[in-house]
Parts: sequence; C-alpha cells; structure tokens
Amino acid sequence: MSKHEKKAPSLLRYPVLVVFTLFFAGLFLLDLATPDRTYSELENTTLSQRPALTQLSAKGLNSYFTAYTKYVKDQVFGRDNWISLQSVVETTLLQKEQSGGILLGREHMLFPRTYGLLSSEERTLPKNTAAVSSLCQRYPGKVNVLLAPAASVIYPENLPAHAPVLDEDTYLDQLSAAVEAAGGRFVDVRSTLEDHKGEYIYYRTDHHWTSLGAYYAYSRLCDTLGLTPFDTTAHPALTAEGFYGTHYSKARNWNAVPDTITYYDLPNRLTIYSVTGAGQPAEGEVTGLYDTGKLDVYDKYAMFLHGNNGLSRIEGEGTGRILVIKDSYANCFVPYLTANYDQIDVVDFRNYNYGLDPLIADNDYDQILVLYSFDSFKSDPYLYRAGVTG
Amino acid sequence: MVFSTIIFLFRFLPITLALYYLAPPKLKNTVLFLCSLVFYCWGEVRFFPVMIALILINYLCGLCIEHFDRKPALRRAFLLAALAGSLGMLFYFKYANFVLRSINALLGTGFAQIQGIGTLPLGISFYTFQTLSYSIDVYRRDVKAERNIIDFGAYVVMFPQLIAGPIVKYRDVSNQLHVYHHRYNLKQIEEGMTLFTFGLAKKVLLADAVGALWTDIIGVADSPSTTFVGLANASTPLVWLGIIAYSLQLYFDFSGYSLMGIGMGRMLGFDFPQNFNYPYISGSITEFWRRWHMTLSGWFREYVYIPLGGNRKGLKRQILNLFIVELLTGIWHGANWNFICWGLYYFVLLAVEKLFLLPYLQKAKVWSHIYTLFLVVVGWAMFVGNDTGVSFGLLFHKLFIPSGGVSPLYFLRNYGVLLAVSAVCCTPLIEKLWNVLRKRTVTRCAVILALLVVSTAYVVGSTNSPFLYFNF
Repeated sequence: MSKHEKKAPSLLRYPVLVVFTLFFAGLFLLDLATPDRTYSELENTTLSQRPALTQLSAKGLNSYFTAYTKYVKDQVFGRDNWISLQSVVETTLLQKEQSGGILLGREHMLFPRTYGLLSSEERTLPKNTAAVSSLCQRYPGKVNVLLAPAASVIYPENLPAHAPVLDEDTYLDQLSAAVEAAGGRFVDVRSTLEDHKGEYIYYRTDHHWTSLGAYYAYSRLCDTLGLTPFDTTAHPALTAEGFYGTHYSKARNWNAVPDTITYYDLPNRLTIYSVTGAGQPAEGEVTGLYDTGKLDVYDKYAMFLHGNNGLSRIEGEGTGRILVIKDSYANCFVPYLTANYDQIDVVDFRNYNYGLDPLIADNDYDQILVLYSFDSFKSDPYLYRAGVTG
Repeated sequence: MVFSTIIFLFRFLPITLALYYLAPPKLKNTVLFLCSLVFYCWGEVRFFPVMIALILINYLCGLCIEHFDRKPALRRAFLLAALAGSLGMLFYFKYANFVLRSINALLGTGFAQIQGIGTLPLGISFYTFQTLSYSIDVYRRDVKAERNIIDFGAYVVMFPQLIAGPIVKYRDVSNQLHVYHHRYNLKQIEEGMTLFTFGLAKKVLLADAVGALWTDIIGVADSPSTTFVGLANASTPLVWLGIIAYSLQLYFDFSGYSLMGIGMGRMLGFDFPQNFNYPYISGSITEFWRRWHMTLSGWFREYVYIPLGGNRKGLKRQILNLFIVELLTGIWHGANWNFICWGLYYFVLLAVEKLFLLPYLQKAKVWSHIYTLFLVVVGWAMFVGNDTGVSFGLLFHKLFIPSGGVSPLYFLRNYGVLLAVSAVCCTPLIEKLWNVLRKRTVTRCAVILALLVVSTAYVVGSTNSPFLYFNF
C-alpha cells in the first residue's frame, strides 16, 4: 500500500490503516527476509522447502499450489513464538485446561487427550491381542506381557476434574485374562506403581515413565520370575536436566516444568544389528547402552538404547537369554535386565519387518518379555508381526 | 484459498492489495480479475474452465438480451440460456449425484454416480446466484448489460465475496466498477481494515475455538487420529452443550467470513451489503430470517417470492410461496435430505407465525427470545444431522430422551470463559463496547493490533501438529 510521502501527514489521521498496513506488510517482508529452516526440533518434523513449478498442467499447478501453501505455513516468521502465544492466550485469558490437545493437570502434569478408542484402534487392539495370545501359545510358559499404564491411571486425581479420559483399567483386565488364557504371564504393574505414586515415576511433560517408574515395573517382573533385582546403589546414577517431552511440544504451555532424566552408568556392550532377513543377523554395530549426544538435543529420551532399532543385543552379567519385544517404554527398562541375563535381545517391530520364530529358533531364549505401553499396544500397526508364524 | 490461512493473510492479500493500489486506474479491474482468478484456482485448477464458461455465458446473454430489446421471444430465449447456464452448473456439481442417489434409492435403479465432482468448485453456490441476479436484472431492464468483459469477470469472480458471500447483486456494485479514478479513499480503506480484523477474529478466535467443543464430541471428519467422546457416549446435557457450541460456531464462522469479505470489499472501494445483524437476539423466527444471511433471504425474496406474487394474492398463495422459498433455501444449503427437512421446518415455523403467533411474540419480552433460540438451535441440530460422526436419529434421540453418559462438567469448565465471551459477542453489547473503545486513538489501535496478533497466533497455532512418535 504505497502512499506517497507528501501524503504522510494525512495518513496519520488514519492510525488503524497505518497499524494494519504495517502489520501485514511487516510480516510479509519478515517472512521473505528470514532464512528458511529445514527442521523443527519442537515439532520433530522436517519443514517444507520452497517448491518449484515443474509442469504447466492442471496437475502440476495443483500440486505446486498445495506445496506452496504448506511451505508458507511451515516457514512463517516466528512460527514457534506464535504457537506459544496461542497457548498463553488459551490457558490464561480463556482459562482452558487443555492446550494443543493436551490436558493440563495438577502438579504440572500433562496428559494426552485420550477420550476413547479411535476407529483404527478398534481394529488394532483386537489384532494385537490376538498376536500376543498366539505368541503365548507358541511358546508356552515363556512369554511375559507387561503393559505400562498411562500416567492418568496412576494419577487420576491430577487430571482436570471430570475429564472423560479412556478407562484403561477395563482393557488391561481384559488383556490380562486373554494372556493368562493363552498360557502366558501377565505382569500387572498397576498396584506396584500406585504404591510408589508419591515418587517421580512419570515424566510431567512426556508420555514415558521415568527410569524410576520403569525400575518399579522391573521389580515386579523380578518378583514374577523369582529374580534378584538390579542393585541401584551399586551403580552411579547420572542425571540430565531440562527435558521437555512430547506432551510439551504439543501443549507448549508457558508454565511447564521441565523433567530430569536419570540413567545408570553401565559399561555393557550393545550391538545394533543390520537386519536384512528373518533369524539372527551377523552384521552389527557395537556401542554402549546410551547415546549421550542426544542429551544435547530436544528429544533427550532418545538417548536410551540409541532409540528404537529393529534388533539389538545387550551383553549382561546374569545367566540365560531373554528376548524383549517392545516399544520405547522399554528403552529405560532394559538396562536393569543386565543384572539378570547374559544376553538380552531387543526387537522393535517398527523397524523389524519379520516374524519372530526364526530368531527364537536361532537363539533359544529362556524368557520372552512383551513390553508396551497400553497406549501404543492399542494402536501399534506392527505388533501383529508377533503373531506371524514361521 | 481460505481467508484464515497464512497463505492468504501474508501472501495473497498483501500482494493483491499492493498491485491493486499501484495499478493505474484503468487497470484496477484487470488486476482484480486476474488476482481473483488465482484465488479461485488455488485449491483446484480443474474448475478454471467452469468459471470462464459461466462468465462468458452470462456476459453474452446479457448483451443479447439488451440487443434484442424489441423482440420479446429472443430476449426470453437468451434469459433462459443464461439461467440454464448458471443453474445447470450449480445443479451438475452440487445436486446431480444426490438426485441420482435418491432416484436409485426410491426406484431401485442403478444409475452410476458422476465421477470427479466429489469436491465442489469453490463458492459455486454464491457466484451462480450472482450471475443469475445479473441476467434477470438485465432482462427486467433494471440494469444495463455490461459491455466490458474484464469488468464483468471482475464482478463474478471478485475474491472477497467468492467463497462465503455476501451475495452481491451486480447492480449493487456496477456503479463502483466503472469508477476508475478515486474509487476508494483512505477513510474507506481504514473502515474496511477494521471490519476485516473483526471478521478474522470472529472466525479464528471464536468460531474455530468454540467449534472444538462440538468436535470433542463428534470427532474431526478429516483427522482420524483425533480422539473424541462419541455422540453415543455423551449424556443429554453434554449433547445440548455441544449443539449450542455448534450453533455459535456456525454463526461466527459464517458472519466472520462475510465480515472479512465486506471489509476487503471496502478496502477495494466497494460497498457490499450487510449479511448478518445479530440473528441470535431475534424475538421470532420471522425476525431471525431478517437477520440471518440477509443477502440470501433478500435474493430469494426478490427473485422468487415476489415474482410468485408474494403476499399480494391471498393467504393461501402466500403460504404456498413461503413453502417454495423455504424449500429452496433448504436445498441451497446442501444436497441432502436433512437440509430439505431443515428448510421445511422453517416453513412450518414461519407459516405458524404468519397465521397467528407473531402478534403474541411481539408483545412478549423474554419467552419470545427463549422460544426463538430454542427452535433455532434445534434447527441447527437438523442442519448438522448428516455430518460425519453424527447420525440424525441418534442426535435427536440424545437431545430429547434424557440419557446418561459423559457429563458436561469438564467441557463447561474448559470452555466456560469462551462460551461466555461468545454469548456476549452475539449481542449488540460488543458493538457498544467498541464504540467506547474507538473514541480514543490509542485504544482503537490497540484493539485492532491485539486482535490481529492473537488471530495470527491462532492461525499459526492451529497448524501445530508435532509428530507423535518422537523416537520413531
């Protein structure tokens, strides 16, 4: 909106016009002037880059327009700050107990907004239950199923009042019955975690349990299998401050209290295999239990076990072999097993595209542990592979 | 392109306004025409020929109607051609598949659906009504036919009112379209910017935010990963709360869009008609329809109701005319049975008021408003009854047969402040407040700037969708 300079005095008689013009022209120019980012740590996603118009057909134009819209959205000036501002307005001015699909609970705890099963979960939950039952039947007496309940099960009083979150208890009871009926053991950690609810067992800003929460669940497994638990006093505990988790990156609430990650300094070797087929692979990369470089980036939880690799092996100080089939809740749990087993194999189906039988046949495990959070158990689209025979 | 997006606010709008203001007077309509075509094509280029064909048909028919001024048969023929062009396109894209489905269901036939028209051309319900009004007005000799095809094209595809109205008649803007010098002044532009800001705030701060309460219950159609309570699990009070939230959303959404359109029209130098006038403070359904989507009701009154005889041919004929108009109003809102029900529902209510109820309502102070709001909200339940996640029968069952389920307490607490603010914004109180604040330059600018900043935060914030599996 170019008004010539000689008109400037009269422009001042229209202050709203000036404010409006400066706002839009300013943001437009800032948008053009600031360099594009390639990655957003807070949103954990790569950002779109400026698209090129490749062909002048209807299809080419349509995809160019779509890509350009997405590009402008991703690269808008001050994106992270705008999102935080919305959260501030929502939580302070409008007094909402929810931000970005996250429930803002008491004690600074953040909870996912799980009001019910999604229609896709209505399908995956029975499918995953059947897969795990089939595993129990194929390896009678060897399979232990441990499901981490969501923080809202242990801390219902910290949820916003009357929030209609999914009742996990009913589902966990049903799963317990299904596993027992198929000849497996269901390691119910709910009462154990409730006994320790005064302690720091779930992160406030992340969906995972803390290393301490995982330790109590691990103790419950030791009770079930008659094992002597890992001695936490015998190893140095290290901590990393300033962890903001997945819930925070959605809620972006201004008053979030960052979490602390604790891990035990252990010398055990971890081999990350290059999986190319079913059964025991030969090639792998040897490293330690933790990827401490991750403590310097946003997603600090990824330091445990170097994230979610398809198949890894940990050499422990105990006896016998255990196979852990898991999601990321197991990443801070598995280090404790070094006290009990000589060989701990860890499979994450999200990166392991095969059935288990050949691997089990090659290694002859003494125990199999299925460790998921209920949240991913109900939705995981890969766990069905546990039920695939051969 | 949607107004409340970053691409529109921080790319299309600044560039278009700059080009428009910088263009020499004679080229302003050309700039407006070309930029509006880009706006129209942004979502779907395939519909570009539809727009061009519609402009050409009405442009040529208009010229021919005027040219054959002394030959009634030819005039009528060209009018019919223009009507067939506009209505034909509207029917083909919006209603053909619905009619085929209905015929198949009623007669057990097996007509195949027409492929490739699953999405409607942007704003087709609005701009076909505009071209209809143009051709009819030329036929009635109310306006002169437009000779310049660029000017005519600029009128039909003008981006401010393209997607959600107001429905602007050609004769409302024809004078301004031909003013090339001094089409706008700074005062007008400033007014337009103020209206636009309020419209934007209504859309993103109120409509989208309060609409979330309703989607908490029924889910988001195109986002299967968003959890929701589910209509079947909700208690009767929660369903009422949800449908009230939906009613607020619908009003703010539609009137916010209209206001943005009117504001941008004024920035460009056009005076578009008002589209909403606090409909929820009405004391009768008759009054409600004078305040809700006024340009649509006005259009039907002028081009259907009055030509049919209006109220000049006796009560029976008036009721019939009312029936036709309300049926068409229902059909205009969407190609489905629930919209037809919704239109007929209003026919019944309007007829009852016309026959005896209106005098009583006009005397009442309180209950007439409760009566109107209740019936309007029930009407919106009918309106939404066919959306994804809603089943018409279940919705009305839940509303009118008390049943237990998820209580509304959490939602009242979470959305309480927003609901209260929304309620105030439905009344002229908000205008009174603005009239106080606008008196001082500082408060006037502060309000506009605050609304722009917070609205932008909401526009950007609504696109925040972190990838859930952080470690994956």
